[in-house]
Amino acid sequence: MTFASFSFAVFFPVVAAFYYLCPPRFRWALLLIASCYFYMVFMPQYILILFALILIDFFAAIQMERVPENRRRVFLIVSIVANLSMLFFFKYFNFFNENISSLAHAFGLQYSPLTVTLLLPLGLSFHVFQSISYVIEVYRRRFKAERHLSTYALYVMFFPQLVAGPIERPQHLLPQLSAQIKWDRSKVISGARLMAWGYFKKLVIADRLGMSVDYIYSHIHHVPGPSILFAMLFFSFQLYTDFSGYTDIARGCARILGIEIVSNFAQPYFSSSIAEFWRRWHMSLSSWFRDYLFTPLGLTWVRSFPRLGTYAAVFITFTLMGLWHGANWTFIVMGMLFGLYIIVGRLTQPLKKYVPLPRPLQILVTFALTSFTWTFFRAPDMSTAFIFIRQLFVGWNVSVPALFANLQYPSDSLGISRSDLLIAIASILVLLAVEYLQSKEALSPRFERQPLYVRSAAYAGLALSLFLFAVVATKSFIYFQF
Amino acid sequence: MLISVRSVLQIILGIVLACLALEAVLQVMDQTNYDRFANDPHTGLLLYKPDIAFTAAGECYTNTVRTNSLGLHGDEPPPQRKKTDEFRIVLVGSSFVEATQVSIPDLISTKLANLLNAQSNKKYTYEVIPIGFSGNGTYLDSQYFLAYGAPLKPDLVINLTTDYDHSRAEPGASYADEKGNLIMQKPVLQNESLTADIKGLLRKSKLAMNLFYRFTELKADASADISSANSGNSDAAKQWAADAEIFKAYDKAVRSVQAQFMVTSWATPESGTSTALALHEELSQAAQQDDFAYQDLAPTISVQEAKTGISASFNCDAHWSAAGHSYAAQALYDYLTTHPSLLRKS
Repeated sequence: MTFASFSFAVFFPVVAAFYYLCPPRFRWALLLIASCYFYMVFMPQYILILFALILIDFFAAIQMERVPENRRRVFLIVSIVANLSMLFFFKYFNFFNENISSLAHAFGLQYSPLTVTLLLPLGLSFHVFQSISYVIEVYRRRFKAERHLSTYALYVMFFPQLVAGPIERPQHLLPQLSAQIKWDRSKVISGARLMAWGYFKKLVIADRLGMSVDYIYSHIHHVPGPSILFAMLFFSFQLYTDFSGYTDIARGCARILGIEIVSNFAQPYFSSSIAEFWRRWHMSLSSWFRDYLFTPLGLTWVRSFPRLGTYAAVFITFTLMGLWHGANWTFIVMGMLFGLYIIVGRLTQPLKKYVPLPRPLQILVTFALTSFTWTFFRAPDMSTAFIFIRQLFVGWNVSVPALFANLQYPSDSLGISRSDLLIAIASILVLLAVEYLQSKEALSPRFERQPLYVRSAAYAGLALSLFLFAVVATKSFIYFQF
Repeated sequence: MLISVRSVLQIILGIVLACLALEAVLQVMDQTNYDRFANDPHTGLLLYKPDIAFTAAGECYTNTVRTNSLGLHGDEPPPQRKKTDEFRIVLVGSSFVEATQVSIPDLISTKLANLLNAQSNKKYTYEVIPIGFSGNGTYLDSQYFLAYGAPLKPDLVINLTTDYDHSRAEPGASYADEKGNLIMQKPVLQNESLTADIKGLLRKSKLAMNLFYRFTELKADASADISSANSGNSDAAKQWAADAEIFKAYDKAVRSVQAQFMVTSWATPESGTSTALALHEELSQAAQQDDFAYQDLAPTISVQEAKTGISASFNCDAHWSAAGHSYAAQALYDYLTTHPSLLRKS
């Protein structure tokens, strides 16, 4: 059941209605049942894995508070190992084996890799990280272990953010799950508005751009540089609108239920450096890596090698962040590239005094680097990524009139119709305008202050645009694969 | 909490403003001229406005469509009175007969007339009159024949049926009365002219037309999902039965105007092999049962495509290109000349 499915359109209103009809003290039970159902629609038996991890982490956290200081670390390690083993087995086992096999082959050794053919449990990378965050916070004594198993289970399984985050912290989510939430009309309206905006991003922009990107990748050997450039730009916006659209829907759902989920994006394409980009992109993941990997690594290494230690910590953090996305060298290379950009950015920091670049140019350069690097996110393998980059420099000897003629009839060059291209470009402009305004001032309170006719015009415009321009044959959310 | 009148008015104003803004956007972005349609006040059937020209543009073609006095794409139909040495063929169908993608000289009907008239030993002067309108199914084809084809006193009526035409037949619907006569579509009465006026007004709004087409599209998708979920064989059989009922009554209606009836079929490339085979099989069966002529265009068109290396369809659109119309006309010509009884007056 994805957010863009008909079944979810039935599921969520039913859950929300029962949620508010139910006495507040029983709402956790309803949410837990709904979350179990939501998860089990995908593959029922996998819920046992989730239950096993929930039990391990729940009791490990309680034990950490009970045992003497010198034994606390044992329970932390047990919990982390359990979570990461599950992640490794389902997500990285085959990748690891294939690479061992290739390595053995390179050294003339025989090694037949054992292949496990299993579907990746839904949202595994997200809930494993959320669980690890919980046990680490308890271990660091920043949060008291949850004593109610059902509340903790709901923390891991809360359906709006179960599949693709945002990765929550216990301090933020757990107290809300045990609080008695009252009906709040303004929250419900604001949640519904956020959901509608998320659906607009996903169904109108992301899925439309996806048609073109898929077409260009499937004709990669024949498409010239200008089309490749379009695919690169389109994928940047597809990825952003797909994931931030999902996040908005997730946050909107939760807000309707009276629960706030952390934000994941802060107008990332307006960043003026890659370091800033990662502070504004998938913030719940980047802050997770910052708090639980980069900072501990940095603190350890910087003592011995002040500069080199920091760079090594950056590089390793980003490489692992790339690997988190998927068991493929393309993701690892993507992470490494982002790490390298940040290191180069730090190394060239002193030069900025002498050659100051205007901020719009910095934003453009950052966007160009990011779009280029997303090639390794989108390409199914390294060879496709290299072909894509090679093709980028081919076929530029086109006259300007011919280029415009191609845009008049873009189905051959871009794989989408002229009207789809126009809708996509217009929607991206609307998105950028909204994001720009958001970067200046929080739009929601400003919107709430507007007269009723302005607000209803905006709602009606959004609803009509969704009805008219949504791509019907919708694709799954990109981050669902992780 | 009661919503005040002032709030309701503000909400309505907001909705109107949103509609106006979207209307303005669509006026710029959507180049389609929806104001070209008109309902026949006598029959209620949808047509183009008579004697107009409009542009039909796809991703790989642009064509200026000229409508005749009937409101259909094609040359002006001949007068209803027919000379004795004239042999009149009415070619009925949906978008493949209407063919807004190509100009009138490239239409299958024009090309078939040219081929027939180029015969050295011809007995008659042949007229081929296209009665085609996009989106029609077999039942509407028969209605267009009754309304615009039958008055022309044809000698032969050819119905070009595609998988799409067939798919419009509704299982369980009644298309013929107890005597096997086609049930006529309810005519639009004079006192319903208000409806026609409203429709005419709505056609001027691109937002209204886009909403209407979107709704139709989603409804079609939903019913396709439901029918595929309810799965198939018995429903498909019922749909074929409905189509067979229409053909039986259609054949009867054609014979009643002293003309011969023939069905020719074309399965669009996107329909898939099983649909193409089923279309051929079911139409052959119906033709045998009701004793009308039937020809599948696919074999001849495939041979022509292989010979010339040029596809019958546009690469951006499932409809025939000028080449496709030529191939289809040649296929029909071959069939008619090898079945001379069809070119005899009854």
